[in-house]
Amino acid sequence: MSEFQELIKSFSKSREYVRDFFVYGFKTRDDFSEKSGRTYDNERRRIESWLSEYIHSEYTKNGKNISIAMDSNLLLTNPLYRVWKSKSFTDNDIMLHFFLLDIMQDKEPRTIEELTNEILANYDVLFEPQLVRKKVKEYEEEGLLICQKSGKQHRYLCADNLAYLIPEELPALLEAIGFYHIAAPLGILGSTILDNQKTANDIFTAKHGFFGHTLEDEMLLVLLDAMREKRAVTLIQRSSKSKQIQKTEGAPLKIFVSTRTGRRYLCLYNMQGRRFTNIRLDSIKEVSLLDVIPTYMEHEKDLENNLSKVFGVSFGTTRGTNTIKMTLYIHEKTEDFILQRLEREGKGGIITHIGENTYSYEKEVFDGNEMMPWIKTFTGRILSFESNNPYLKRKFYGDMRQMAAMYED
Amino acid sequence: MELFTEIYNCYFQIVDEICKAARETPITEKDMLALAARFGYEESGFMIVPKLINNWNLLEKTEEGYLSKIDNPEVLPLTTLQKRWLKAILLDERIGLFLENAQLDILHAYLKNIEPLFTPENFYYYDRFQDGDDFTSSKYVCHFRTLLEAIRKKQYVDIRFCSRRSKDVCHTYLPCRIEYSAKNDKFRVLCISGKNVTSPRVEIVNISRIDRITPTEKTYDGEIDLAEAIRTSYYKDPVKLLITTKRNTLERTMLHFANYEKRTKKLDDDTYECQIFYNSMMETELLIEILSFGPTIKVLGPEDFLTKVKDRVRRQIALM
Repeated sequence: MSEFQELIKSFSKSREYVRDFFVYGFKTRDDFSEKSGRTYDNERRRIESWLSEYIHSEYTKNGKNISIAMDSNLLLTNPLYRVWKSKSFTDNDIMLHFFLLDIMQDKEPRTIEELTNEILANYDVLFEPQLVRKKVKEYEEEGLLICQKSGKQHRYLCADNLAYLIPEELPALLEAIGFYHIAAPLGILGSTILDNQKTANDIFTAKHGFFGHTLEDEMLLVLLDAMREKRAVTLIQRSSKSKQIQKTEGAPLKIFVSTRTGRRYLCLYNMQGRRFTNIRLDSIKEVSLLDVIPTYMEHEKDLENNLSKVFGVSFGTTRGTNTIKMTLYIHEKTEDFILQRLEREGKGGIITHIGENTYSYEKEVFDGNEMMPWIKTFTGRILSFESNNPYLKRKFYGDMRQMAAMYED
Repeated sequence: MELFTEIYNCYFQIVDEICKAARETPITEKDMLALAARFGYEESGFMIVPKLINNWNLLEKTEEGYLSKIDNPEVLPLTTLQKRWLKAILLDERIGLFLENAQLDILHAYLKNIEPLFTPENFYYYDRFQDGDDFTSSKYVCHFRTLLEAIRKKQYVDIRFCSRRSKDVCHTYLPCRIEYSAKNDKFRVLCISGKNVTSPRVEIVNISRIDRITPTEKTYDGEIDLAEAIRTSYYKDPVKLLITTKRNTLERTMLHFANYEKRTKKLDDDTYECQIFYNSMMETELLIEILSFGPTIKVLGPEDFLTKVKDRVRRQIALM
């Protein structure tokens, strides 16, 4: 049996376990039947080690369940970023990292041979020049080292650090990073800059922050590159419900983010089907970049033109649009805040004062079903609900009757 | 350029800290374990320290302990990926809250050959409230910076603001944190009321509602555990929900309520029980979020919360 390691080679397997422990938190060992029990035990122990202060365990009749319990409102950083800082490495990787950057602090350019010799002289370790070259090239690609070419000779030196380049601006910039590392996409990178600068955020917190989003960042990074280069992509998706694997191709246009439901989607234009579709980021397991799409900007423009009729993420069916109209009781003198809610959350729906303490709200959307959860937040003041889609009307009144029965004393 | 690379690995951070600590005075294995516990994971020390001593040639054994062979007094340069992220945040309109135009010009010049990792247009926050703060208003920027300064200095400020009930209010506060809500697109300052530092009660003021802030001479030199103060404001009994698997409700609720501290357990194949921790400030928001799921979620308690749900449902039936 191999020895337990905190570090991992690939992010994808652990990502699923972290997500299950964080989002669901009720699964027991037996619920992770897709992999062996030993795999579960290793992943569990690793996650317990990464996130020890947030682990909650409980014995239930189905067995012990482990969850990651955190209140994102109270935290100054996203603890799930720790998962990104667990990439395994070899002894040579860590030695070369410290030896090379130590030697290169004097900003003098050196050849690979000179670096290899200095490592031997300073630290008494003999590396093959090939190995040193590989690491130096890798760090050059990452932007840590700079290559100076003179004829056939390549000399390398360390890139300048932030404190040297922008000493005056750095304190304010670090304060901004403190905020953005919990509020901006790919905030993990902000967290690594704070690590690099040996500092931490002690001012900003995020309300309504969905920390689990970081688990999708590897896919997001590739998708953003595809969007920047206006390339098509092939996606491998795995449905969270059916667990089926599906392959999709199209033009990635935008990332749709919900600030309420905790979901993020890729808005993709399917060129074959000639329609827009939104795919949950957490269902995407692989992204491959394809060719540049000459018509990319036209699809972007089409999307912009369609957005006013998309209430959430659905572009509906080809059978036309749904109209939704609800009439609400709003006390004019004391319940102005309800009108404000309609205005700020109603996505441009038409609000009309139709009588004393009575207002209507109307909107045309591609998929009225997406509006139903929002409509139900007004439970207790809905005088009537109408739609050109009879299913929605039945659903609304049916749900209200079911709720009445459910809460009957 | 990858996100998952050993350059950002916390073991590298730990080793860097150990090497720095052992640069001039020898350190012991115990010191190394303490640094690993501070900067790493729960078991990192047991993985790193033997390797450091026996394999990595970064330390030299002396009679008093271990000395670093690494001089390395400076921090690392940034990777291109980190710079691309920095360039992306410079394009966000909120950056003006932190940096003056002249500072932004210098940063843009520093990153002039760098492609931003993303632009604001790449993201569409489709259910964000439409009355977000005006982050570019000079009054707003001035208030934001005054609050930042006061938090740094632990300085009391007099804040005059318009309350939710449209009343002019003026209080002395010790501002402690700034909270950003992605849903509301608003910043709020979390303060301790001037009189309540020993048993702090957290008060929240929307920065956009502030009319005037005046720093006072008074500062506070103690430590305030704001998270603990908020946690103690939570009700003893969490909201208890019965969740069915109908309409994919289980998955939808688990994601929806992922920003609350919650505990979930399985009762049977189709039913789950979820407890959500909350306080009076979150109550109405949580209540309407629960109502949005309709009959696929049933509130079981606490009694006071359940009564509020029942009242709304009863009122609704009376209106139909």
